[in-house]
Amino acid sequence: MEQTVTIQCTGVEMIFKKKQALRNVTFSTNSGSIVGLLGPNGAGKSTLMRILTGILEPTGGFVEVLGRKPGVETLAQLSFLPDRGQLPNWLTADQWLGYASGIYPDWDIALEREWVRKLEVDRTMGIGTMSRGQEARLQLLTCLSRRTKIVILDEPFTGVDLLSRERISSAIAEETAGGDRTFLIATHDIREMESMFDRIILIGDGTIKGVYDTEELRDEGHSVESCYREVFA
Amino acid sequence: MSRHHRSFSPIVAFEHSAFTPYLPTTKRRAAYWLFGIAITVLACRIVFGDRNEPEAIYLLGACLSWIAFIMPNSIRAMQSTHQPFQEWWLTFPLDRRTLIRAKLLATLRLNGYIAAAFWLIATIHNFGAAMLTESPFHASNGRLWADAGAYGLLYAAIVLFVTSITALVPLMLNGWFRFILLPYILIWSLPMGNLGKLINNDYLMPARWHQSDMVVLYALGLALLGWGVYHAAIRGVARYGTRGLTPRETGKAGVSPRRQPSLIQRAVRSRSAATGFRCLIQLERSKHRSIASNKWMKLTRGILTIGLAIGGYFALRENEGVSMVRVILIFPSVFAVTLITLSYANDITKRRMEWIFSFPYSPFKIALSRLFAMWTTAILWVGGALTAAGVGAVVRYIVQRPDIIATTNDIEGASFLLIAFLTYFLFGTLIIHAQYGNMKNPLLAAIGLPFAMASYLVPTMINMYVLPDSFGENGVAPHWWIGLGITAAIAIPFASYIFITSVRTITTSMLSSQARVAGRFKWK
Repeated sequence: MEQTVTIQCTGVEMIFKKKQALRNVTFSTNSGSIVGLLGPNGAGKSTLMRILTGILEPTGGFVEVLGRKPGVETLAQLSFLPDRGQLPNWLTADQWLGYASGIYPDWDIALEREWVRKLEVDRTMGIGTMSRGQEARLQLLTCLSRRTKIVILDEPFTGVDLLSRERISSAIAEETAGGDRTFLIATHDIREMESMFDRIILIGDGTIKGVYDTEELRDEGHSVESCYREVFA
Repeated sequence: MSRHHRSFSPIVAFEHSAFTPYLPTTKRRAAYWLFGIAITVLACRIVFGDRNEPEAIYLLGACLSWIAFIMPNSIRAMQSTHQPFQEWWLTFPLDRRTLIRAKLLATLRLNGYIAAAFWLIATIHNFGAAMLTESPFHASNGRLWADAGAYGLLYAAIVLFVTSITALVPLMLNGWFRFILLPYILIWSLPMGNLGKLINNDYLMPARWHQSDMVVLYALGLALLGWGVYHAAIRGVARYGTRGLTPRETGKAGVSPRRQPSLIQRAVRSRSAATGFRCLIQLERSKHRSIASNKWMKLTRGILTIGLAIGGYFALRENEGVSMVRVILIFPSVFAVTLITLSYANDITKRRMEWIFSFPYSPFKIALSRLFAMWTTAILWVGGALTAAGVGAVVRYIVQRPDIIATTNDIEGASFLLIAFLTYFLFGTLIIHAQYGNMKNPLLAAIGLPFAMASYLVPTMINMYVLPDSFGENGVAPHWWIGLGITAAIAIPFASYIFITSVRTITTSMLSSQARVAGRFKWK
């Protein structure tokens, strides 16, 4: 399958309150790939993701998402799951999905039904009474029910129970099998996701420490985890 | 040093640290505070000159202090129930009363500084006016010193009372304690009705009641009340208020209570045809409906509806229809502005900002959808209130038709008030967004933000000055209509410009606030 460049970052810089959060960040992603954005806390992962979604504008450098500068138009082609963000807790899951189907122009009702079943989301449950794992599944469902070319997940496993994690991992794996969607996933759960990543981008102190093809790493006898330890230890 | 004291001091110091960055405890911050005080004294000199009695200036400062404390403290108290840090706080090795007392002391300190600043401004103004003018108001130095002392005590009492009562907010969110919300809302709005009169050097009570000897009695009474509320807040919140402080209930996986969907829920489930921008509005409106569907809110609304109907009944009898309209319009105007702020504050606390601003719509459209939702809700509230009053009036008409129902002047007066409040409503709800704008923008910082803060005072000003009492006899003079038209023609475009300018940077502003509330001071 012909791959196209979905995300292109060149020399991206972000200065916030006189602190350099990102410095000379350069990388790209191709369609149909799962890319892991890995790094310790405070590395700049969430900042980078906010720049890719257009929520923040970089102070320097160049970003293109699907050939365009990030903004409202790219948001219509991109699903974003924020880190520890909460959905409207006064709604039930069904009510939220109802609004989401109206807000997102690319919503697919059939996909929604399918993911509700696979992720075992209780539609009648109030979001305010959900456990973290339940809400995490609902949030992922929100992202996957859209027909978007890029899915950006910022720490999808934070505080999530084991069974929910397995369901989320399976959902992502299934979604990428044979598809042309790009997944960019920031996570600390390297072992959980290691087998799924096509590429990893290691980021630390706001700079890219390395970009690796996971298949090449395995051919050289390394794992994602060992590579991570080498770079950040 | 006792063991209690050893452990209490650090927790108090910890709570103080939340506010220290805003207090004049360094040379630089003290310079900012002094500069602000100087500018305000100058503004007072220009606005009030020597027209106002010293007592009126002090009372105005007292009202402004009250307003300055009650809303931010209430928001902070509400946010405290949802902060990610909450579980750390609850598991400190200290009893709940100690924890809450420490929080209260820190807030008292902050509010004490603010009240002292207001007192200083009023005192400098009054003494300055005495030196510079020959106004009879400032003739007696003894009077000035007595006022300074007495009102200083009053300000201290206000700090204690208002800080303690806002500490009760976590309690008011639980069970039967929600009934405290009603008197709380009255206490909240108490000073607003007096602001206009005080600016005009007018008093609700005879001047004798504002002299220093009487003020000392008020201060002592309020301090006593405040002391009682202080202890009640510590005990009450420790026992009942922290119930809601733990985060989401867990352990409900696999056990989903099957709720009978309400009419609203069934309507949503049927997937309304609204898409895009209209759906954004509906999402925000769902928040308002959720608040309104709370059983305590329903009870409150029921009580208010009955009250308004009774008011309408007697208003018709006493030919006080226009006064009734005034009462109905003033509160929604203020609360709409307040609710916009609270809505954003709630989303910040709940870390919803990334979700909201990653909707495929520009920040302008997202902010506009919230504004439209608020306008819709406000119109429905006002419509409901007017209907309730109208029903009361109709009942009166049927039971015993009064001789005079309404003259043409009354209708004209009511129409004028409606348009005046509508103008303010549009102005206030647009300009309040200045607080979310980039403060580096000189227009926003210098003009927009003060206007946004002053927008809470405008309804009382409208109430006092916009429609003279003589309209009943002479109608609304043409120059009043012209003035209203000119005001609307200037105010609304100006407020719209501030809104558009502010929402350009609303994303950055909101994310910064979210990070601050979450206790994160650097980007990850």
